[in-house]
Amino acid sequence: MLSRMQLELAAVAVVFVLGSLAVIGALEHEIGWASDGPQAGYFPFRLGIILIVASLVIGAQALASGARGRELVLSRESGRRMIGFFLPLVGYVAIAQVLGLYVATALYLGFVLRAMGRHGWQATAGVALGVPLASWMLFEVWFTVPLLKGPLERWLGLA
Amino acid sequence: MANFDALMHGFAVALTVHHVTLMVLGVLLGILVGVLPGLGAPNGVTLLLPITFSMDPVSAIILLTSTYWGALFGGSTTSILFNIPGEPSSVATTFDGYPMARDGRATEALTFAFMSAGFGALLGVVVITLLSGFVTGFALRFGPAEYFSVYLLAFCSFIAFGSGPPLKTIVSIALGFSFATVGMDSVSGAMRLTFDFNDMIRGISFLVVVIGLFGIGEMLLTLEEGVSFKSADARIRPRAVLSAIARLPRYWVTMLRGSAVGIWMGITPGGPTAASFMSYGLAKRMSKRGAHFGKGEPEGVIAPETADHAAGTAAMLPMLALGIPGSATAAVMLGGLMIWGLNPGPMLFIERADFVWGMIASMYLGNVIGVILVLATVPLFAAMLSIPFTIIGPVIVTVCIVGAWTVAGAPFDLWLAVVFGLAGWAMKKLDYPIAPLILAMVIGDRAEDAFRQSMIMSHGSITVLWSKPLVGTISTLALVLLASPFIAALRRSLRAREQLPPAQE
Amino acid sequence: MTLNRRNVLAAGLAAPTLAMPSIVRAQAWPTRPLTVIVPWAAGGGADTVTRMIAAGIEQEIRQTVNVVNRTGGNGVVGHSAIATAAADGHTIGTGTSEFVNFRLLGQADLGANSFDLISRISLIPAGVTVKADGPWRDFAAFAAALKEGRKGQYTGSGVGTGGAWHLAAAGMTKAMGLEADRIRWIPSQGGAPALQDLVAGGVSVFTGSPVEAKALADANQVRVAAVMGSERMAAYPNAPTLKELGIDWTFENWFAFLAPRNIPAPVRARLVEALEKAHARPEVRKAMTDRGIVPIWESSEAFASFASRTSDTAGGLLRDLGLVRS
Repeated sequence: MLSRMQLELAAVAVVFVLGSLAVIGALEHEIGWASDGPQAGYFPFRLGIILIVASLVIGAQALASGARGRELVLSRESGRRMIGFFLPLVGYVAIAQVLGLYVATALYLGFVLRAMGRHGWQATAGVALGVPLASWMLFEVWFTVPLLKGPLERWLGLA
Repeated sequence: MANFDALMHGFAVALTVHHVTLMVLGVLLGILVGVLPGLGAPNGVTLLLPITFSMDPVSAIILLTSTYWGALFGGSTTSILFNIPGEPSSVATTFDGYPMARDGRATEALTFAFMSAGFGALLGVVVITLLSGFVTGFALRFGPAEYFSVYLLAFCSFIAFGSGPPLKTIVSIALGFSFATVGMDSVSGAMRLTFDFNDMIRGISFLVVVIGLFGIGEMLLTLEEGVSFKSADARIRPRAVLSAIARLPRYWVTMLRGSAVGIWMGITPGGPTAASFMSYGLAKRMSKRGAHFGKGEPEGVIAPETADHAAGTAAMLPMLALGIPGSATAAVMLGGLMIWGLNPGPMLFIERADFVWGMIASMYLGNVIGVILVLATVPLFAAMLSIPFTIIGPVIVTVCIVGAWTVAGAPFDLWLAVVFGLAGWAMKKLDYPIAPLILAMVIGDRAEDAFRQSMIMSHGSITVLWSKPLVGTISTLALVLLASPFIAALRRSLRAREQLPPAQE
Repeated sequence: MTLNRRNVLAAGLAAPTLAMPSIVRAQAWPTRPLTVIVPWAAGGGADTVTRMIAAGIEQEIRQTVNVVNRTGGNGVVGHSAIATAAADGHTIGTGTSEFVNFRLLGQADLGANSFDLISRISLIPAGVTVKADGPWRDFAAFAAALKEGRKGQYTGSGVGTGGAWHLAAAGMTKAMGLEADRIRWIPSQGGAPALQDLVAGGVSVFTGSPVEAKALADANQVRVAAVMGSERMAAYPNAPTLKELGIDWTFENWFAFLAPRNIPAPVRARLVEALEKAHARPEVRKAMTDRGIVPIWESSEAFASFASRTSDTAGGLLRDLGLVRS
């Protein structure tokens, strides 16, 4: 599903972009070494250059890697398992932005336990409701660290 | 001997039912915040602060410091069992602790961690007890140049071990330093690499990155390999505990070295996190079994743990004597001290001797109680491991996501944790070492500040790093440590070339 | 009110839920725990003062008060959290003098007009603290050295570049007839490291709060040569004010209660009343004065006019220092 070379190149592309961002961001500031030492952009600029150069070299090495580059780092089956884990996670975080962490946690656990873990309704409901409830006690009541809340909590007058 | 008498008096103050109860409560609460990623010792102590307003200062400080010890212990538990550092200072414990647990040696790893942590803590207190005068003088010789040289030393002692491919190690380091520069530059007051994006002003939190790279990244790896938890056996067996304790004295060199590093970093104050990395790096270089580090070597657990706790306890001294906090948690306690109507300073040792020595005595007792209690919580975590992965896995994910929120209370950080989770998986797959990135993030920010502050003082001249004997020695030591593996490698390859015909790649 | 995407989103989501319960509750205040946002770390000055008063507020309104630290970006993060919080009287914040200068320093589009200014709550006078075994016995000796020496020969520290104590130093040298940047500023992460630098010998003068220097002054490591408040401080009876020394300059850093704008008037009235009562409680007052913090309470109008005056002074000094970015 994914060969080593493909993953190497993807990683290198990310590093290249991050390096370029560091350079662009650094250029908004002085990048030199003045009488009072290095300026705000001095280190980010050089770090960006290092990242760009390193990414190009690693990329070239990856392209020249031959058989090792063609070996699979992710088989189709593993890939499916990973995506099955990762997509719900993305959904969890996306829902949390809108509905708050408590509701999102309940939905996420409910979905994953039921659909992926194939647990019974009782176990699913117990965990999906128990974890947010325990979090509420722990964070809101005990530690007084407010977690992200959404419309439900507001409607209930809790946020 | 005056100090000894005072200490005995302190024990008389600390050893009451009331105070021991407070220690137990503090340690238990500390273990809880320690175990949860995102929540740390500063949270636990801040939380308790209002409760202490109505207490007498001795009881108050005993409660707060015990929470701190508990958090330091609790942070190691999840590092070892789940590869999720509960506290920033227990990141280095994952390197060998988690592999040990995966090999079914969780009991051993935990015992080593807790016992050596307790040892480091006690040695830290002993130093406080005996050398308080000398130590505070030492702390006052530290300016920005000295700080920078210490960070450099921490970095060099850890970095140059070359386990990963060199180019990828460089990428990791550069990424870590780059992430650390995001946000407000405290020297010039300018916003760097924020691209006018509100969520970047805060900077990229190192804790969120750790939660992503370690917590979620580990989940991805586990799932991809299609196995349930590999640390299947975390039952605490009394015999394994005892045998680990019996073998502990064997590692006395590592423990002493770790404690020395920790005490130094606690006093100066470089902080427990940098101390644990530095101690791990030094142990790896100096140990005969250095090559086995990262694969489940007890020394790799003992080194960071002793340093971490020694730094934690030693940091209390500059706080009490000079009002200079050696860690984030000590800073919160300093605020508490003032609220209770106590002014830190040498006068505190004279005017409120009962408070100071009661607190120091409680540090001995609190850490002993900490070791016992934290060992007692291990079966609880072991029980968690016997829950099917399809249940406990998702629950751990929610703990990570909630942890990412509690770091700064920012919705954006949840995305950051997910992205770094994916990055952690890819880095493992492609042999990009993760530890250098973390270390660069931890010290990058402060090291850059210290460097530029010292450059402002010296009008841009780098010679300030060799301007005084203290700073010169540390800087030189750092460069020697950085160079030594290269020299050793060079020598090895020269020797190999003499003996063998040139190898074909 | 500045509209950003998150606000619009939040408003859109809140709209359907503005049904019955919320409207009923709008009449009653407080209906749930209060949150006080502090833009600085736990254990620091702003945090300590806030927690002292928060304990008083809990007594007054019989509701939990959560103090939440939103740190980062020289206070930008926390102040913007205060400005964009729901304006229902359940979230307020402790602002610090920094927010007046965010626009000038090019750090954020936030200023006095981004908030509902309630009142200042405490004043923290600046001071002139030097090394005890250094060359200067008193302020006169220090001032003479400053005048004779080159510009930038002596260094000062206490806060990041452009922060409150930097302005204190700049205003002092200006009032002495010297350049605003006579003292070369070494930015620091706060009082404690700056004081450590002072004792280590890297910095000539610390212009931060003498309260922070108490431990080191007791240890005979540093000496408070003068204070910049309008009167002497109880903790340092021998340290004269700059006014007494003939220098027309006072500088006090301040913390204040801020709220998001547009809180419904009846709620706001109750909120302000509760805050003022909490602030006036004897135990809260005592906790503050014990620490050398000067409590203050004023009307919103007085605070607003103070904020605009201080913005002018600070703006002038920042311009002199060459730090204005916008």
